[in-house]
Amino acid sequence: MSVLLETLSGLKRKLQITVPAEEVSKSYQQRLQKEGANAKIKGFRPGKVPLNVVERYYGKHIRAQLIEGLIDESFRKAVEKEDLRLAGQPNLETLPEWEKGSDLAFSIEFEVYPVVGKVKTDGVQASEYEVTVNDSDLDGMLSDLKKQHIEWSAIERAAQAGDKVIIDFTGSINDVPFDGGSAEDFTVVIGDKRMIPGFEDGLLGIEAGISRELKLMFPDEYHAKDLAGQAVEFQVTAKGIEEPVEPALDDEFAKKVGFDTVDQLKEKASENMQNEAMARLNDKHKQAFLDQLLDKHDFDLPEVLLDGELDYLRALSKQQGVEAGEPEGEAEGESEADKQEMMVQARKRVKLGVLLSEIVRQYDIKLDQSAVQKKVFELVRHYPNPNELIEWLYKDKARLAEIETSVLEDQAVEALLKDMDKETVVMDYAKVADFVQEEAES
Amino acid sequence: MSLQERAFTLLRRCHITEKSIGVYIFEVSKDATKAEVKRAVEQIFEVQVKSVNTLIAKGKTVIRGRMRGKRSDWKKAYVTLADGQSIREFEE
Repeated sequence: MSVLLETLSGLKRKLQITVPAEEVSKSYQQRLQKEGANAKIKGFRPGKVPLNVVERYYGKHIRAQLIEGLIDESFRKAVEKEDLRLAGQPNLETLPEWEKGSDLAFSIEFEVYPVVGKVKTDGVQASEYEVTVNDSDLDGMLSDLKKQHIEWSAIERAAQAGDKVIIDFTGSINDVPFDGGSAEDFTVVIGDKRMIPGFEDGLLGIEAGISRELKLMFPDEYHAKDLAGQAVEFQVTAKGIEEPVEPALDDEFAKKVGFDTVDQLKEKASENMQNEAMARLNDKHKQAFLDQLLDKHDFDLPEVLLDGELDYLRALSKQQGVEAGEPEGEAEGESEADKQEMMVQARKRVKLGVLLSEIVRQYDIKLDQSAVQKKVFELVRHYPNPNELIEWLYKDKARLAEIETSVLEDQAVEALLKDMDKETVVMDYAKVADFVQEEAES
Repeated sequence: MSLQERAFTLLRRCHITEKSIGVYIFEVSKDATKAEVKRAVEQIFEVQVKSVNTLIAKGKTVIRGRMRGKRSDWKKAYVTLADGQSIREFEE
């Protein structure tokens, strides 16, 4: 087998391969014999068919298979010999002709991965974060938690903002009651802004057993078209007032939300806050770190990969468009700016992919399956039936690949960071949100 | 019918089986003689024929439902070529 490697342009390569006649014939005879051993031909016992007869019956078929098989095999060998790393699918120009006794010659075009060289990390800024959770942050968190567990208790006094009022009401337009305009034992929380403007305010100061008349206007953009903009009169009778009672921060409250003591609750809460903040910071840091790495390296990108990525992005944006309720036709006429934006995106993603695979190779990183599992669990934790979802995720190869890539990214970054000097940044919990936001914008 | 035409209509088909290795078996028209077969093969395939043996193969009886029938008899010719010769059309 003789191989000629040609560089066409950039990352495009062409392999010209010639398999000598002798080799091809040998392989052809082998295939004929193999076929003949099982062939059933009228007039012959199975396995007793002479080769020339087998050839007359199956020759064409076998030759096609032979050429295909030889191309595959010799191409693989050539790639191995020349130490090439293929990007995308190789492209066979024309199916080669072959006659008995002649050489099999063909040429294949393809693209290779760029030579990245040693991954450079000098000059890349790396940080380590520590998050401090202050008492005031913790207090804020706890008061949010308390608000979620408000209890209502009946009280005998005039209604104030924030109170819950239980009412019967009848609404009428021009003295005619309208559909859906009346209710009994209806609860309104003053200040929730669930009713039309003026309704809740009109209940301020009301006491149990007192009736009031509210003259209001439906807003112009009210959802029921026939009521919008109409003057309306409500006859309201209050039946009871309830005031909100925030639970006290004691062991009893702690038990209610799943902990034994207040101290434990506090400890757990601050731990959670710290973890969550760390996760967000690390996420941001990973992005920033990879962005810096990308800037440090410069290499050609294989066009096939770019095209593939572009197709993927286009499909994605189309899908999002459909989900957002846009008519399908609209996505077709994408503007020049959109195309540019997509191209930039695709370049970045492909570059990142190539760089990551290089890092993985150089640092000899193996995909950590337990990390993948952990990530999957984290993803499905908030859904009602996680087990089904896990099964679905593992079945969907594309989704799983996405998760695996993300895990691999983490591992690669980790491996790089291990050998680097890191700047330690201590940050207050309250500042984390702003910081993450800011980074995203810049 | 010229001799040429006779030669082409007389040979019906080549009968290739395990028993036909080393010899060519033809199905020929029932009234063909050994001499006619020899001349036809020599003319059409441009080879020398050493000998021709013929026989009449009896048609099989076929029963299809209640009907009983018989396939036509046919003539089979074993043609041996002169040493070292072969018919290219049937060998490749």
